[in-house]
Amino acid sequence: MTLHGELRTMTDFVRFQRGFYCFFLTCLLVFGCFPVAALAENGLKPEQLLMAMAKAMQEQNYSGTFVYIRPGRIETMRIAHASKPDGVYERLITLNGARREVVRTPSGTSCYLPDRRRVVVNNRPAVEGLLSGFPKDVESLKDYYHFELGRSERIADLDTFKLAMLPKDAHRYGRLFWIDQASYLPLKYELVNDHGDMIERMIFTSLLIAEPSDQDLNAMTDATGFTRIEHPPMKGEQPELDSGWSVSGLPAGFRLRTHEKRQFGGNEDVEHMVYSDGVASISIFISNHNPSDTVAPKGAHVGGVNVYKSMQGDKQITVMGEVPQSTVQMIGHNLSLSGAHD
Amino acid sequence: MQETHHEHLSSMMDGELEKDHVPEFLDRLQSDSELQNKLDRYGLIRSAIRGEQLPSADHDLSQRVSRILEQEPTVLAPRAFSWKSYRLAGAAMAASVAAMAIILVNQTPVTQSPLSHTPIATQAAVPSQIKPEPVLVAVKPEQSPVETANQSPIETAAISFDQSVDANFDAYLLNHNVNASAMQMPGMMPNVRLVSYGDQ
Repeated sequence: MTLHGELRTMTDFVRFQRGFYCFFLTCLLVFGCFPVAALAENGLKPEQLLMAMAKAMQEQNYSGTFVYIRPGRIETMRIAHASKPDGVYERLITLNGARREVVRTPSGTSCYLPDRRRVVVNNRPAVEGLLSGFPKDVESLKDYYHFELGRSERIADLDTFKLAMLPKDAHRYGRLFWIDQASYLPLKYELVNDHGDMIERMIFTSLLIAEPSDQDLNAMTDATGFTRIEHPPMKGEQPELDSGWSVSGLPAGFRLRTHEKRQFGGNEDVEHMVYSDGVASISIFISNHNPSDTVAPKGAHVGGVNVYKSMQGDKQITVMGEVPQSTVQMIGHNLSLSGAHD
Repeated sequence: MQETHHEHLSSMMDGELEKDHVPEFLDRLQSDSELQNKLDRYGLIRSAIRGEQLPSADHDLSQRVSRILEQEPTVLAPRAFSWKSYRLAGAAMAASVAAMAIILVNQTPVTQSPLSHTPIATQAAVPSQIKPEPVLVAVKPEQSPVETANQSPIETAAISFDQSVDANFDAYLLNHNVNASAMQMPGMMPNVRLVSYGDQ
């Protein structure tokens, strides 16, 4: 090939390459942008989407069936939720095995455990509003979590936005939400550890956005003859308790939200402290030692809730929260009375 | 076509997928979330039928397959130069540039956060950026909270009715849930764990 011929071939190639780049870029811009652009058109930032979901969970009327999965266990449950002028009504019931149910009314929450012939009642009124602890400034959560929007997916025959909320440290879990594009209810939820492994998953198989009937909201269990474990309601505003117990070296963002003394079972006073970073919460229960209980430190978990129990002097400490086991242990170790931490 | 993939999935679960179809199927599985979910479901159903313990995320087959694919060696041997390969390389570069442009264009208006411009994996590797909150009570300087927790590894197990860690455990869990609902951002129905634990 002559020099002229070679130059011509190269010029043709450059032209072809330019045209190809333009064509390829246009195709990608037109077709590739679409799913994410749809989210942008929706006009919601991830944190706004999160807020919309939280609000929808309280304010929407809905009922549906979902599957709850955690390692070694899979369960089907049904939920009915109604937001009425006097507050929120809700019933959650297991559809397999023993029919356990939790019924929530504006005056409190009752958990019926027929297999144990027990009903546990918490008369904490919901007047505080279930989103009272939700951070006013969701932006602040960005100090501890990354927010990422994913591509839309279809769950229970409904289109969803996928939202990932991943922790920036190992002291908390990540959360993945698949949020219904119409109602903003979470149709699928996953709690994941720092390796991205699933701790628990909840996924709706059917959802009806409509006010459930009273029958759907009332307890089905006849609790006659059941042992009733009831926590009396707090008498008005309880002054902030300062018993001397405190936790040092908390993971960033966790603040003491409540500190109260209540009666749990019998007449025993139990101190209850709640720490939260606005997403995860950790409870600390401090009670007198029950001689029938083990003294050695012990860890356990209920799905995504890790529990750590230990002794300090004659006090039994139970720490639980939707955080890794290492975090509840850390908090159990760093709990001390009036600087008596050793 | 989708039907064929699902047939292949079924064959693979039975160990009957022909060798020739394996690479194509694995390529498809890597990019097809519906197929991945189906694989999860098949695995769960099979475990349930056999009465096995249901798989945890660690044993998630589709994730394992993805991990294996990621670990596959990349062939780095140079190929003979040809205009065809040069064009393809050019097209690939153009695609990469275009994809980068799309990601940047899309993420800026959606999140408007500097965090969103950095991949999660990169950010997660820099925990030192987070400053600890002020300490409420003095801690011995040589004993950081994390070290303290690590000093006493404790085996944990799922709580069941017979192994309940405390006579008041039901009440504690209910109280935690009620408070947690008020304190934290909802996501999962808060009382699911309450009706789920025990009876194992």
